[in-house]
Amino acid sequence: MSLRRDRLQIVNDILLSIQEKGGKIKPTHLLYKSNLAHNKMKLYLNELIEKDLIKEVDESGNKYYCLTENGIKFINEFKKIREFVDSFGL
Amino acid sequence: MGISLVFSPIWFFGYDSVLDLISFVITMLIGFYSYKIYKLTGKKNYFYLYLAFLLLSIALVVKSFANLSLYFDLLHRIGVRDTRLFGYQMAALALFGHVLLTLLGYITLIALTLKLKGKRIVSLLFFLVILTVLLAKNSFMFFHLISFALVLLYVTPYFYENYMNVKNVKALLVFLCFLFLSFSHLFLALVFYNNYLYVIGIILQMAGYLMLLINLLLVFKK
Repeated sequence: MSLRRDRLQIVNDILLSIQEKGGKIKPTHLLYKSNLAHNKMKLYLNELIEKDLIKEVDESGNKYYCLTENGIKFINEFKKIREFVDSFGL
Repeated sequence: MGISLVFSPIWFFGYDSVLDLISFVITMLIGFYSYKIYKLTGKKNYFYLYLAFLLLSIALVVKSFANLSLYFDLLHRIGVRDTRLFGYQMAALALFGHVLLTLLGYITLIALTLKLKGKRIVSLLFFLVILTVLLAKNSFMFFHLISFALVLLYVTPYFYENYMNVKNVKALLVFLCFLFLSFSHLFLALVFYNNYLYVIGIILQMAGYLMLLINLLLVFKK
């Protein structure tokens, strides 16, 4: 895959950031880890919530983003695709 | 083409078709997975990979049925079976289709690996290759020799470089696949000298596609 991050790569990076934090992350941490501008990340997060890849939860007044089952499936599927694509060098 | 179309030793009749059918299934699997990636990412590269493997898979199934029909025809003539499927001319037409589809598949792969831009260049390449094969005195030998050269010189080095870059088993399997495929064509080109080379060629081809199957299984194992 190309070095420039495409949409799928960005989505995967966001989901991986959440997974690395044990499946739950604060918005500020996510913004820092995903390396995206605030408004752009907001758009991605809305789309991921809409597609049931992540969900927004409120715990003791703190907002978190959590990975859903579909989000985990996406990460696994993306990993397979990446391995296949890398083996062909495309 | 006007020459003998049966290259296999009698004891290998039918086995080659079975091996071709297995290779057909493998190339189909690779093709459809590439298509799935294309649909997901929208990247043209994966569409061309899908196209190349689709062409190779159709070429394999066409050859498999052509060979089966030839063997039944031959067995009919020597009185072993009284079943006649298509006959010699039908098989010759199918084998011609196999040649066209295989070369189209390889040229699609070359366009992909050499990053050739422009359909006109790719179509010119295809017509030149097809003309060379058709105008040759022994078309089948030339088809295999040209396929050997195309795969060995233009496709395999790309996958070798990729293996050297990523240094993992899956990339090695893809590189070995095309190396085996290229040499399978060399053995098949020399089949007019000894028909046992046909067996080696078909087994090498099968081994090549098995590498791709192992690659796919490794990807899906996790």
